[in-house]
Amino acid sequence: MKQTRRLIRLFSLALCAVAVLVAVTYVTMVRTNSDRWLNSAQNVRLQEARKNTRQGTVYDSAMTRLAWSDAVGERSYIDDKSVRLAMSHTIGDQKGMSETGVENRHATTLLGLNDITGRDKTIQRLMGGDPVGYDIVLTVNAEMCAYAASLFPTGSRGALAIINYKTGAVLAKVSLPAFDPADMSAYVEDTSYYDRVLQYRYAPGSTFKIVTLTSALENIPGVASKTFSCESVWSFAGSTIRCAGGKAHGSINLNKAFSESCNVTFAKLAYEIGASNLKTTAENFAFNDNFLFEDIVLYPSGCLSVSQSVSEVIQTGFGQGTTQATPLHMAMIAGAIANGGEMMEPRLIREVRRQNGGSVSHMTPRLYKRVTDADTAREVAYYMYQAVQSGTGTAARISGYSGRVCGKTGSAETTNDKEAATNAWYVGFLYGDEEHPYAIAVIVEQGGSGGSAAAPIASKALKKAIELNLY
Amino acid sequence: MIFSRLSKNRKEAEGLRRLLVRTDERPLEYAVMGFQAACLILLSLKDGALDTFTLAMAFALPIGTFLGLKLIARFWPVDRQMYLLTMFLCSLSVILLRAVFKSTAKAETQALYLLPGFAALLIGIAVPRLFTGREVIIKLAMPLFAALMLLPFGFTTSSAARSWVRLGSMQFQPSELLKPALVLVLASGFSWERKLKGWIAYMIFGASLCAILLVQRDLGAMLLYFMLIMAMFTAGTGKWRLSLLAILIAAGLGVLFVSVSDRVEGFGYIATRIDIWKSPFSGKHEESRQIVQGLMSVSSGGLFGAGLGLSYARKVAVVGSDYIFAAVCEEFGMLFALAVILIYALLAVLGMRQAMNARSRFHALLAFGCAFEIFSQMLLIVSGNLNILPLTGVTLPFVSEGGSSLMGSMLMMGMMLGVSSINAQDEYDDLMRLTSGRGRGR
Repeated sequence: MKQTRRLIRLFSLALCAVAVLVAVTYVTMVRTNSDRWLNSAQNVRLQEARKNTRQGTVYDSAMTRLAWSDAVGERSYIDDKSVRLAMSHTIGDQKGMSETGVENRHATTLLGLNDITGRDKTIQRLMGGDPVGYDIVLTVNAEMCAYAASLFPTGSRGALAIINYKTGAVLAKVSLPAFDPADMSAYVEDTSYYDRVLQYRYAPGSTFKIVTLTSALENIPGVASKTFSCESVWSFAGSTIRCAGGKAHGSINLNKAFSESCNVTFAKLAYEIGASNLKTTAENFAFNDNFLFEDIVLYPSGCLSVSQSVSEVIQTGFGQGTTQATPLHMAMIAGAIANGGEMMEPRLIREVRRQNGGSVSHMTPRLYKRVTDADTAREVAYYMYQAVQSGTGTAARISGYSGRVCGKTGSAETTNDKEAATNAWYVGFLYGDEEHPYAIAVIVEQGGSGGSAAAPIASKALKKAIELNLY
Repeated sequence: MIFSRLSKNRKEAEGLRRLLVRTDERPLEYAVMGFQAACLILLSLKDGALDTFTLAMAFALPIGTFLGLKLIARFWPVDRQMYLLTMFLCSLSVILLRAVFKSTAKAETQALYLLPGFAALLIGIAVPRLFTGREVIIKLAMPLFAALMLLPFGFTTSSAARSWVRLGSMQFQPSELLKPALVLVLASGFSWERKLKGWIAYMIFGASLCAILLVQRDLGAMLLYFMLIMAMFTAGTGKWRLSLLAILIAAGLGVLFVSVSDRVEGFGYIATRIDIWKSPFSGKHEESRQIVQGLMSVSSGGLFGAGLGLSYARKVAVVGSDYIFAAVCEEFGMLFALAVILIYALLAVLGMRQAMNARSRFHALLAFGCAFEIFSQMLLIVSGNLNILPLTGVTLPFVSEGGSSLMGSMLMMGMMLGVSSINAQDEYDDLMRLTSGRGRGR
């Protein structure tokens, strides 16, 4: 009987512990996920609320009104069509076609449904009148986006992202082709509603060499002073690695191999680093992460998660094989190198305001993760500087800019067909410029070589960003 | 019998209550009654036109709670806090069903079920006294219980719901009603038989009920039965190593079963459920709609809720039974939902306190089994609603709509109350013996 009592006491203690555990899980789960869950197109509360709520206004970083509602609840968008198209994926739409725009991803904010304590809702009910939502001020600059979109060849597909690598603020974000939020009945091709910056996973190609280089510097002692040999083709473990244009780089050191973008050397490096070390570095750079950012939906990038065979590893060395990354993630990678190894969480919303004035929340920079130590980051930045100064990325140089432009080009194969045009990449940043801490990623689908198709766009876009003095 | 003894001495009964309850439960009583009246009056005015049913309930429920307490206290010195918390949960059921749905039909049915529910509570209170020292009856009833569990095989035609029995327009789930029976059987088994040999019959009985439930594809109920059997075995026999071993083996078998379930006829849905549990928002399965809407409902309430009758919880499939906790979260908000979890924990702890105070092992196990069952059932469905565990179709005791579930839970709560009244009686006798030597003695 005594033992029975003791066991029952134990059971009741355990039961209290479990109850507390469930309660804590419940609270943390709702805190971390409710925003994402409630902004899904399947949430009937959004459609219902749109019928009677005066939605908030969306402003860009220069306080230009992009989208607003009148007293009747009719939604209007900025008149300038080029801005509307360039910002379409950032603004989103009322029909739920876009998944990532603020009108979708932050619908609960614009509708005032994320008022957890019910404070504003209660005040509104007491004052009478229709419910109102919150205004959103973006970090993105509309003029910059419209200009960036105009840099792409007409009719091309691609994406561009500029972030402030010190704060994580997304300063420009363009995805082509676009749609028009003011005219949703107009025909656009299916993929137009996808934000290529956030939702398209491309093979990063040679831009991934930033990661391979970091891994080599971390894992292979004295790698910077080694020489490698490149005969333009390297057959190993059943796959054949070729350098672009069939160029044989001959005897080459690491610095030169990076700025000349030698695939053979990086394939050999990847083999030497080994699958698990390379995967670790890639995961330090946030590959295979389930990004659950507060402001932004970003699809996860993948590296060595499907297979880790030797052939896969050497392909990964120069960003082919099953390696995949979104343009924003590539900009974050470049930004992390520029920021001394610290990757900031990307932010899209500068401020949330009440419609009658008063701020609800302000953006605060948040460290996402440390990708490498500051010394390695500085060294990688130097290699990237060389790549722009004298390597494949010379077209990224900015005329009349005295600071250091660093970057890496990429020409990623998307099919096995050697004749098909490659996706043109450029990933880079302005180094050591306190006022213009910009990191950029540009991709032009089937644009050819990164050095000739993507780097010039990056150059012009960054020049414009400096002129506009974005921060 | 204690009935006559106490009714003759009403003054003494009042003294007994004062002595043994020690806490003044009247604030709780008024709070529960106030809650019932306030919620239902608000709901009756919600749609503009006065809703007479809801308004009637606004008076009927508090008065019923009050009179019920008076009635029970007249015969048995039960733990009043447990009774009041139970009534709170029962009325929460009516309030939620009225608030979530546009029509009053479900709330009306549930309010009607409260009458047999109260009767079940009274029967439950009498059970510990009726069966004390009558293990033979329980032993003889075992095959009857097993037969009751087999009933669905004879009465159902639909393949989806194999754990229900249909009789004309009536239908009930034997597994809900058999929970108190299982507690009774195991409590008597583990208290009277003190050797392994004696326990075997009871374990076989428990195992066969689990097997029947498995065939009926009611895995949630099976899990509850299994946990209950293991908990009562551990507490009753003290052989915790043996039960740990059994739990590990069962867990291993469970994992094995789940991993091959897609090849077992009729169990293909398990893999789907687990897939949905891992990534509910992937949109791969049509069935994930329920959990997606459920999670939206859970997180829509904020701290203080959307307001009575202002939620969209009705968009969740079977919100009345499977997802009633999501409705609690959305209608009343996070703080209230946490309080509800706390109330279940409190009820279980109060029940287990009665178990620890019981003078006989039978009563101790009876109260323990009931407390454990109600709490673990709450845990399973709340975790399912919050996507902490894969969803199993068990009910939230007292709150989910449905008669069988309410009867079963009320019987168990009654058994706990019965044990509490026996404890109070024993304690009273002790005190009397000590002070004036007037005790009843044993």
